[in-house]
Amino acid sequence: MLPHFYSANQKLRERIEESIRLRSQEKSGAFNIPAKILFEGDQFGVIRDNGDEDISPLKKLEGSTVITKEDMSNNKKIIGETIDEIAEQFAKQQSSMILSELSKTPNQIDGKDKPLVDAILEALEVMLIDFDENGSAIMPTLVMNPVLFEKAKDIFVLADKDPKIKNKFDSLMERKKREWNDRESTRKLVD
Amino acid sequence: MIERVLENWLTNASERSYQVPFCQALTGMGQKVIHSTRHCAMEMGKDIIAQDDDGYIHVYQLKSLKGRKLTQSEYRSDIAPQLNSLILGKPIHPSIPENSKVKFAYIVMSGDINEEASREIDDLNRTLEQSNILTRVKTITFGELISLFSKNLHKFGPREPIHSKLFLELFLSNGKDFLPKEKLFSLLEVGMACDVPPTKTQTNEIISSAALICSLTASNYQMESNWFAEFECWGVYTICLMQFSQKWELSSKSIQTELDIALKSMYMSLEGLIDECLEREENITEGNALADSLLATYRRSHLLGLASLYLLWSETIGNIQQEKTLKIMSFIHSQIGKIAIWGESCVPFIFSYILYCRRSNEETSANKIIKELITTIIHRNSKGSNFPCPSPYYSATDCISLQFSLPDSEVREDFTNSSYTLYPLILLMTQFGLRNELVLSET
Repeated sequence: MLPHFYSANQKLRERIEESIRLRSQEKSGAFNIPAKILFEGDQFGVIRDNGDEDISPLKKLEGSTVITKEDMSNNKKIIGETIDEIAEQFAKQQSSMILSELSKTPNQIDGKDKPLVDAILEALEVMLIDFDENGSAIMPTLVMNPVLFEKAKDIFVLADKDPKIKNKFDSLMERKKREWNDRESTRKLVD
Repeated sequence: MIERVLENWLTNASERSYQVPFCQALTGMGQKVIHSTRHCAMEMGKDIIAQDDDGYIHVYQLKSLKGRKLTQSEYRSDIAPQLNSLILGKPIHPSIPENSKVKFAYIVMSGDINEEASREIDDLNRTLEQSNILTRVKTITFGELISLFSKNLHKFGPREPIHSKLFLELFLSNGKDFLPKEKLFSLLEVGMACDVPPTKTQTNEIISSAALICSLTASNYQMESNWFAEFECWGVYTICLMQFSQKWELSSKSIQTELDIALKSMYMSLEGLIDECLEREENITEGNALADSLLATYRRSHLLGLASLYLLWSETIGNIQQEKTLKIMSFIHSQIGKIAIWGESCVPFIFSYILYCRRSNEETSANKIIKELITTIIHRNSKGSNFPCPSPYYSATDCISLQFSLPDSEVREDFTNSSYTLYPLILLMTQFGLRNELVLSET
């Protein structure tokens, strides 16, 4: 073994891996999805309010790249490019996995032949929305493709101006607040 | 605890691992170690040759059995063929007088010997006696080695909890990183401490015990073939030995054998590193390749200095192999232009290269690199610099942690307008007749 700089190598490796993780989350839009570490076991399960159980095994995501000796001499460039490249690979796999899992859930909305506003309201209808101590809704993140995003970003502005849409939205929020209150009051504090 | 650690170490040790403390133990027993093998291609069949006070020669063949028992079949296939050379082959060495006689040939093993193999050795000894051959074959087994090593370690090894903790930290290190030299220094300082001038016996025991502590410390580094850590380990031992000798005003002759053994270990580690370097050619990557791209220039600085040191040392001891020297010189020249200094603790490595250049009549290269070094230190420690050159009290790891703002960085100082090595480098330039260039550098 040549003089290794082992501890420095390990710390730099951790920093690079963290950068890849954050960049891949940005690219996949998964940065708002809560992350948990699984300390034991090899499966992950979700039990929904309606009693549905969903068990899934762990899935491996991996990314790789080739770095040549010549590349190594320009380390700043190669690190930046490698982080981007691997993050891109992870992001694609993550998005594909998330969409695949989502498609198995019963909460799917068919947006075809429907105004976008109605599709969004229907999507919010099936989602759990929490509220903070001031009673304001903690709105969920809607992930959509860039084309749809351009159309959707003005929806909430329109919603304020159009009384019909505003009414629908306000009733939805009231229902969600009641659901949240029910959840909070039936929450088990002690087993 | 010490004995458990010793047993654990000896069970996993290779011949090379326990060779040095064994040599030191022999010195402690009054034998003069004349030869200690480098375990190279040219094996003489005798790993260690020593001479006792009566002038008789003792030869030792080391075996690593990893705690097993030597079986009869193993003895016949592995040991017996070497015994002829051990017993009958006259040890050839400039320090061995012509008419010297081999009294005992030892098979030293980090394991035991089964009854059948033991019987074969007894039969051999009877045959030698009947043939009027002086030499007798003896064995030194695992238990005897443990007794030999632990005897002094109990007296001079770590006893206080804090020193035991240091000792265990060193012994249990993963072996891949740099040697934590401060810890080893602390441990040896404690082990070699005396309130009153030590007697000759005590001196031998202290030195022997210190060598064993170093071997135990170096064991995981040896297993990882971490040559530089081994080199530093024996370097620390050498310095402590010299410090001990100076403190108690011992004559250089009284520690010469031990010093020679330690310096030889350093040289062998350095040689191992250089051999690996040459084998790997341009592939000097270690660990994670991406992270390593930020560290490769520093590794090159290390290797440049160590390769230069190896050539200078080999020349001094007369171990010059033409073809290998040319390959090393080619390697050294290929590193220039690709190195960087992490901090002032890198300067000795560069200085080693400067010395090599001066010795090889390459003054131009030497002068160029001194100037570059001075310019770099001045530039990096100028006001407003955001890439300081930390003082030589900070290791490569500390400097890299500072540079990349890694967690647990221990560097808190401001190095603006300060340097430990600038002044000696300037004096060096003056000595090399570059005073005029120095003035130009300043402007």
